[in-house]
Amino acid sequence: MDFDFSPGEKAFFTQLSTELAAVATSDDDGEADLSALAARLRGDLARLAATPYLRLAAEGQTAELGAAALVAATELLADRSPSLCLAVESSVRLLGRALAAFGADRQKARWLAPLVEGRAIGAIAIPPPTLGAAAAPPAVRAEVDGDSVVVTGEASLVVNAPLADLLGVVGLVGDRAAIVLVERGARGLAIGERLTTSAYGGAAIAGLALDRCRVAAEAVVPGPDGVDLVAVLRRWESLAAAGASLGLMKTCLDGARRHARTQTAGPGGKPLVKHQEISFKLAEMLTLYQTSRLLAFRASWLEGTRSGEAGPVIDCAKVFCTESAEQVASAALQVLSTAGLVTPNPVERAFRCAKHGQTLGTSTEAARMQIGDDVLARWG
Amino acid sequence: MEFAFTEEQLAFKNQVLRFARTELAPRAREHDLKEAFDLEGFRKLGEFGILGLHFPEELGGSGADVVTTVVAGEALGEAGVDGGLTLAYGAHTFLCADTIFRNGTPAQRERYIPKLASGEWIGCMGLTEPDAGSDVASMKTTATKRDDRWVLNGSKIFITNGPIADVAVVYAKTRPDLGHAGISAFVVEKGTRGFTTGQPLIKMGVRSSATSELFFDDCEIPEENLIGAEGMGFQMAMQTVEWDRSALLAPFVGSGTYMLRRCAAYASQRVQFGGPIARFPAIKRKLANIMIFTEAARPLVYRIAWCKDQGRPLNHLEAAVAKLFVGDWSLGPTNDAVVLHGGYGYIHEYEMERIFRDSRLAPIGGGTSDIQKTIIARLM
Repeated sequence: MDFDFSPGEKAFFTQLSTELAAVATSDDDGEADLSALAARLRGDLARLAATPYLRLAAEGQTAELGAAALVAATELLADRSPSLCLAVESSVRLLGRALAAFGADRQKARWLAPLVEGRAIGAIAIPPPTLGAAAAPPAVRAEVDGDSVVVTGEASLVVNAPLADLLGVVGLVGDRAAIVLVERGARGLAIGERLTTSAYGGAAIAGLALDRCRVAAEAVVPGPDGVDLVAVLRRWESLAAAGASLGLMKTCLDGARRHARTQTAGPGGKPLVKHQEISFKLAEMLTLYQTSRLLAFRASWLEGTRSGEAGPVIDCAKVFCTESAEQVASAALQVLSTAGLVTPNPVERAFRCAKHGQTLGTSTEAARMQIGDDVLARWG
Repeated sequence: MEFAFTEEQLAFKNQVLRFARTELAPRAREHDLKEAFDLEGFRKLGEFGILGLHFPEELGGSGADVVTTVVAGEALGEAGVDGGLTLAYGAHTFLCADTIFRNGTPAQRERYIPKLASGEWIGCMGLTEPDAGSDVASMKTTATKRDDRWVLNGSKIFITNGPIADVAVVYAKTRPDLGHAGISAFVVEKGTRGFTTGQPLIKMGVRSSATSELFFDDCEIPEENLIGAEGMGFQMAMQTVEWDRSALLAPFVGSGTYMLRRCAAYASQRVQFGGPIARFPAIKRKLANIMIFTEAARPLVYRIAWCKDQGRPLNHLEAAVAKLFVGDWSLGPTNDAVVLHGGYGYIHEYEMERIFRDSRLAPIGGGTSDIQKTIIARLM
């Protein structure tokens, strides 16, 4: 048991923070057009590639950096720019990690290396989970045709879709779940219009459609035997959401604290932080933040050890961290009072993003059902 | 950062679980119902070695580290041991015996620790007064030097083990003019002239724990019964916070797992509307909420324990966060456990209502939640 990060991990956080300081955050408020977004994202990926972050995200942990360090790094990223965090996690942590974990050597050489080196933008479309009901028909199907695969289907709300060099679409190939890799511009691939969203305005999100899109058979990454590919991807996604929630909470806590220390209220101009209603809110916020951190770190560590306990604890982290983020963000806006109404404002931006953490990927409803099912399987 | 227990700790936990399930848990209901202290169970804790776990072997202990001590506490809760008994153990070992061990003279250690470690003697700690709870520095009990004796006058209230204790660590003002710095600590033995206890207080929960007032009416004790130096009493009391935020909270965490097992078993067997209620999302949601709380609370408690094992000074902020979270956030899950059982949740025999009542002490005892928020806000 060790609750400290190693000196190497701390040095990594320092390096990452230095790189992130150069990341622009104004585009997070949804004003950039696609070409500007693409240029920005490519620049940021190159910046992150100068640190171990992308490799860590793709591998889950390295010899020097543990799984908990990945969560802490995601927190730093989300604190700086929630949209960049969403984009990078989708590209490298989900698609990149799937390639790293399940891809053949040739696939890794061709497609993983550019992602991890920050030279390519990835996107991944994962089917939505069902709430304990019988599996819905797959949205994406692929049929083997000689040495190629013909893919048909749709996916909605795919992060990075309008910008991606490489899209990974999860569907059934024959009767087996797999990730089909489709390169930008492939015939039969259509990317929808970039969606206008209430949060993560600095990310490009759209739907996609595949109409008998033909790709080489070597572009299929099958899930290994005995592994529920979609469940694994969802776990990684949940951990990413938990880490991002920590960053949003940090943004809100920092903003609320700063405001409470510098603004005054009441007779004699007492600083806000001296008013018990405000100080107690800050205390509750910090409690949720610290509790979330440890839970997310432990969940990530369990995942890294391939523990059978990991699945339900990851679900717990997803629920707790994303719901705490909403509560912390709401409390922060309360502390900011009318200052929170004025945009752009990192706390207000975090508030909008925080809510959606509960519905992106595995929703908190679905996660609770999964936890309940696990508890019943163990002790029912 | 990693969260693994050693093989020895895991093996020890299983031993404690087996012992507690067989020897202690079956006694819980009866003692709670009768509001009777489980002396036999307490002695069994002593025989098993739990009461003196962290004391050195030469003083009758096992030399265990803090994390192992917390493992034992969690295991007791997980086994379903009555909250009154675990509270009695906590007050005895960590608030009374440990204070003597850490601050006492060799003669004091020799006289008291072996008997406390074995459970032959029962210890209590008198700090709180009728008019001095959160504001402990306003205590009125005094200790006046008269020749080679100290003379105590005053009273204490809400003292766990008060009616049954053989030994009391009592805090009193040797310098009433100095606030915190005027508080000193003393050992007072049962039967000392001028020292009496009140009637057991009837409580909402932890009913098998005997609680009372302590009265000092010109109570004379030898001068060598001063623990440590004059004026160091408040610091000693604050040292107990480390244990209070780890070992004393551990049974609450363990009881989360106990509730899960009981709730899962009940939900799987209880048939309504043609099938087990476990199939309903509303039930799974409750199970999930209990698990989320338990998983979130656990690392907070172990962090305190681990830091203490590293020899670090107490991080008061982290300690307050742990206490606040367990105290305030336990209300929902314990309520869920009651409601999940329907009418049976209201019935004593099914234990959930006892756990709910017992858990209501968590936001109060050892420093209220509002005090924790005050500490957190000040240290943020």
